[in-house]
Amino acid sequence: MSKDTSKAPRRGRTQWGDLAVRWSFMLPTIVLLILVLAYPIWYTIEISFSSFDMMTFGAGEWVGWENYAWVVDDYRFWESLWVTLVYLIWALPIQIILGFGIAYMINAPWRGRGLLRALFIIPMVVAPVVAGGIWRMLLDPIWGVINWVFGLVGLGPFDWFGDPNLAMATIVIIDTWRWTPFIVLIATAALLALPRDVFEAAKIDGAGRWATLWSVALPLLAPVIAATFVIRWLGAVKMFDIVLASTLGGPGKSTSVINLFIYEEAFRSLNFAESAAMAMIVLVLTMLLTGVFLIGSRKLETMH
Amino acid sequence: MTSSNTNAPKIRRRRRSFSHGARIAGAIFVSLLFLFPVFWMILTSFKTQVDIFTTPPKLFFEATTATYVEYFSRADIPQRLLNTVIVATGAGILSIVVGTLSGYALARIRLRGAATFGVLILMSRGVPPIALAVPMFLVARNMGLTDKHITLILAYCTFLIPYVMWLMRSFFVSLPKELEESAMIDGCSRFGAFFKIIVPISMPGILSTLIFSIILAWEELLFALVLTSRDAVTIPVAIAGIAGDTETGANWAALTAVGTVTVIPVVIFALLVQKWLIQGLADGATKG
Amino acid sequence: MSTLDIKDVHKAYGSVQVIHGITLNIKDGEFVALVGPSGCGKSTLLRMIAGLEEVTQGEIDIGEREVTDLPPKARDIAMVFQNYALYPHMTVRDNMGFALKQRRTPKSEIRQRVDEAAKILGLEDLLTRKPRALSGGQRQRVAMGRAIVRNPNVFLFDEPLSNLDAKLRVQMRSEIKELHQRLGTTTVYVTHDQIEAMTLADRVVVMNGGVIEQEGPPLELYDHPKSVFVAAFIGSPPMNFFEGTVEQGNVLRLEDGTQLQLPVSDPKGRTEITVGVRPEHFELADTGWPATVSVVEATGSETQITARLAGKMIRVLVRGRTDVQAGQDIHLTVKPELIHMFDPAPIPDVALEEDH
Repeated sequence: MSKDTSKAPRRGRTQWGDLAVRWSFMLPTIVLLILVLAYPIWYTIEISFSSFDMMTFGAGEWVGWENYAWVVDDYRFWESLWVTLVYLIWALPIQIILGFGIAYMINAPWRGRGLLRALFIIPMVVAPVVAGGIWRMLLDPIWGVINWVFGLVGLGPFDWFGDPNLAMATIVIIDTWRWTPFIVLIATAALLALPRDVFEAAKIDGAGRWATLWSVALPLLAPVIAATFVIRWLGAVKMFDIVLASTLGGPGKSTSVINLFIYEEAFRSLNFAESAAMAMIVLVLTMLLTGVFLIGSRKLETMH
Repeated sequence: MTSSNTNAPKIRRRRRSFSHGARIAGAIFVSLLFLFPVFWMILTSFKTQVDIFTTPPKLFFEATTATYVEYFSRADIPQRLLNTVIVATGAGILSIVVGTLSGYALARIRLRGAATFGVLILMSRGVPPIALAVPMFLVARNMGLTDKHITLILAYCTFLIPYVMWLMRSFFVSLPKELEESAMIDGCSRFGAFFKIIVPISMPGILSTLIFSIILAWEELLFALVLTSRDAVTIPVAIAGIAGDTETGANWAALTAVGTVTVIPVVIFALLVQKWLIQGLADGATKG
Repeated sequence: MSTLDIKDVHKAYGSVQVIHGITLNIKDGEFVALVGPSGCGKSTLLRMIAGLEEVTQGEIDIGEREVTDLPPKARDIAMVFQNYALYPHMTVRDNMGFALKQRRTPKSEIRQRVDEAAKILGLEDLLTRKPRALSGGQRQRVAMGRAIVRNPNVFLFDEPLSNLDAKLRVQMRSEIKELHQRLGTTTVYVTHDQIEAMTLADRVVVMNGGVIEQEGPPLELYDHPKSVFVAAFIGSPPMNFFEGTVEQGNVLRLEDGTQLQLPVSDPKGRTEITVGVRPEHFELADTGWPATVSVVEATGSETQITARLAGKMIRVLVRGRTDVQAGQDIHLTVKPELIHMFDPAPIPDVALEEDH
């Protein structure tokens, strides 16, 4: 270090080197994600505003909002959004309530608790497409075990895949089977983390079982429930594999969730421009709702 | 024991243990209910066609491995299994390397603007995969990259890197930062501190995250459906094909046999890292 | 071993200035304690010496070499952290030898130096263990061992004893002192515990709000605190303070009107002053400042009396035993040379921070 460099302003050459080192931790992620994430999104936007050129198999000339107008006019698009909404409205609350309920049962202190908790991982890691397939077998109107069990108590047989409402129920059941364990695992941990003294205080104050649940446990769990909801929501809006492997969107279009609909429009009907427009609409809707849910859950967290 | 004043607590205890017993019984029942579909899948995979299509369903039957032998001696299924292994491990390893570095950067390194990238990457979890599948298909097709392992590996990075990055970030945040500081005083550079101290300490977390990344890639369907056609087709695509094959009727034997082979390794790996996974899930829900 | 010179060092995070120009020259082999309440900047200063925080302005020299912009590894320092920061995946031996290994010291030399340090600290039997199999005191020792094997220019300690229980803390304190006497390495020791600072250091630097409030040998700070802050911070139990106005040369009139006779008049002739008396410097007498005893606590060797004087709680420490009882009215006097007079300043709550 000569006298000259020490007089120069701080943040000399050494700092630049360090800055490069620091950024090199972040750089691979940024480069890769720009390549495989940002660019495709950009390309989707481009296609959604263009006509699709079958010769070059890429974006053709600029057509403005035409594709969007076409999509908004398509009743099937709205129908499909509606189907997705119905699925979400049924599946998410059922899964969360069931998940926390089972977690409460599982948390009863006994030796097998750890084992049960571990076993609950199994449905979670069954590939969704396999889940869809097995349940198609289980729910088969003629040969399925489930209809046979219902038959034993004098119910059914149910035509799970022939009736639109039952087909939706099927989707909800399969999704619930695969995802409730995930919530159970979060909930068991959350329940174990609850401060015990608060419950003892409630008991001493004379609160009954329901009062304790309603005014002590639920408020304490609210942030976890909200977070679980957001995670689950982000997974559920991507619903695709299970439907493809079980109902294939049928009967009619009664279980054709939006992702399946866009997929078929793009890769079966080859309407790439319109599919891109639909994908963009769904992307914006998802982002907006996710933002709303995140703000909501943040609020819930600061409230308690 | 027979005196009257020990009676009251005794009754109380019994009533508590009754509800306790009901809870345990309920827990076991529900667990069995949730495990039943997997059990039935494995069972069915060892049945003959005759035993499958019968009412009432058969719990006891003469087991046969005929379906396995038939399907795994065909060329396509083992090839698809191999494809799945290549793609899933490739995507898992690439994502863990890249995502661990950036997760560390977000947790520990002061970088102007890095937090913005972090939030953007987190937001990408809200992007519907179909919005990526369409352009990826078109670009891959124009560049002649369809039906190649590397294409699928890169496509899986779209959801695996954000996942790894945020999981590892929260893991690194929980380590005391004095560890790196101490390492840097002891003579390490930033990279040295990261590779010699942080990575070895974090190995259990890194391995568990790797396993879960591999599982996520292993099960992926949409990108595989769109980006592969013959050579790089993965097992989920094959299963979707079997399940959706309406012409020959439901081929349950094939479905359950291939399904079992797909699921078993994943279940084993998941059970190996279950402890860490549960911890990670709990942290993710309460902190994220 | 070497000198350490801190020249007008400033630190700012964005627009928030946390260190406002500190100059400190530490002699070769000197043991300096930086003491002050949390948030006073003592840890930040230490971390700047270590190279873990950038210096916003100013210069730090170790020996004759400027290190201001050098990374930590180029400074030849060793640091003991509050949570020890032992590498959990390495054995005690590997932990202690890590720094030498980074400098590519030959294996046989590493082995020999680790053995030597282990012997000094009584760690010979623990060398093959992992940190998680050690007790708190043992971990603390390994952390020190890691520092001494390197034979660095400067030792830095960041609250090294605050994770230990009271008994171990006293024991480790004397071990650190012994170690310094033996090795004679220049040492900077950060603590919020004034007793640690007083007992260990050759020189104590009291910091407050990012500046040095006063520095000097421990007893000088005790005998001649320059401000209410230092007076309140050094000494236990803490000094009693009386704020008021001086009337007729040597009468202190408190806020509520009570008049106290001062044994000397203020040499600086101020009218608004804060008078300070250490609990151990009060004497019981027949005349003097009137107070009412509220609590008497005897430990045998000394007796602490809590009393009320003009509605204010004060503490009096008497050697040996006394027959004073709660409720009794007493009178207190102070020798003229033991009374302190300060410019009025807010009295810090530092006494409450001691966690013994």
